[in-house]
Amino acid sequence: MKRGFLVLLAVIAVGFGGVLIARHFFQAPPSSWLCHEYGLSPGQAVKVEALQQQYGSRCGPYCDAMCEANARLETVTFGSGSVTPEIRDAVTETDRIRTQTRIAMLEHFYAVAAELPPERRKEYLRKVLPLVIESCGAR
Amino acid sequence: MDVSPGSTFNRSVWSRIEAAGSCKGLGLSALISWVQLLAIPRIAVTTAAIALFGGILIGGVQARSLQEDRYLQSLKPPVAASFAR
Repeated sequence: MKRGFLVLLAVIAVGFGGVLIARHFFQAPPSSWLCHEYGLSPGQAVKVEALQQQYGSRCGPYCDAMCEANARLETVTFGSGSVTPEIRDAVTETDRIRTQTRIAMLEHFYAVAAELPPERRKEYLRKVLPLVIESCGAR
Repeated sequence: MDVSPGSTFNRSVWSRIEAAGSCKGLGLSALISWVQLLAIPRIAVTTAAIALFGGILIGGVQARSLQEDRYLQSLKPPVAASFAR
């Protein structure tokens, strides 16, 4: 009886192990979902992957700049008792970077959509555009 | 309607209750005997193989269904930047 329970526990562990292994091995690069879902040709898939890489390298400096601008905003707001010209500048700077980032996102989404079959471009944009709209604050 | 003790109605109710009780006992004893069967190496190996296959199947389906979310996450600037670095 005791041995049976031990085997049962081992069987459950094996099942969970199978789930984890499969989740790890079937994990593909994020853009592979796009290629599969929209039936892209190998040439289009390579182009989409390149666009994703390019987008990632564009985002890096924006993220760094945003972190710096946020840190500056935090410093000037905590060290003040009212809205000073310095705070106004810091807020404007964060907004400027956010706008640039959102434009970069839109440019990427439209570039990817251009690689998709024409009849499915709107469907793709409906999925991704909320990411830009969300970044200005969810209501 | 007058239902007196010992009537056909009462007897049938009691017999149903008894039957339900014995079914519960049967379910538990079936489970115990199944666990005892697992002690037999051949059955243990077969059950483990079925569990592994089922796990791989579930994991594969899960990985596939999570791909769309992963793609959308990868479009968020900090995540996209981390993929490029």
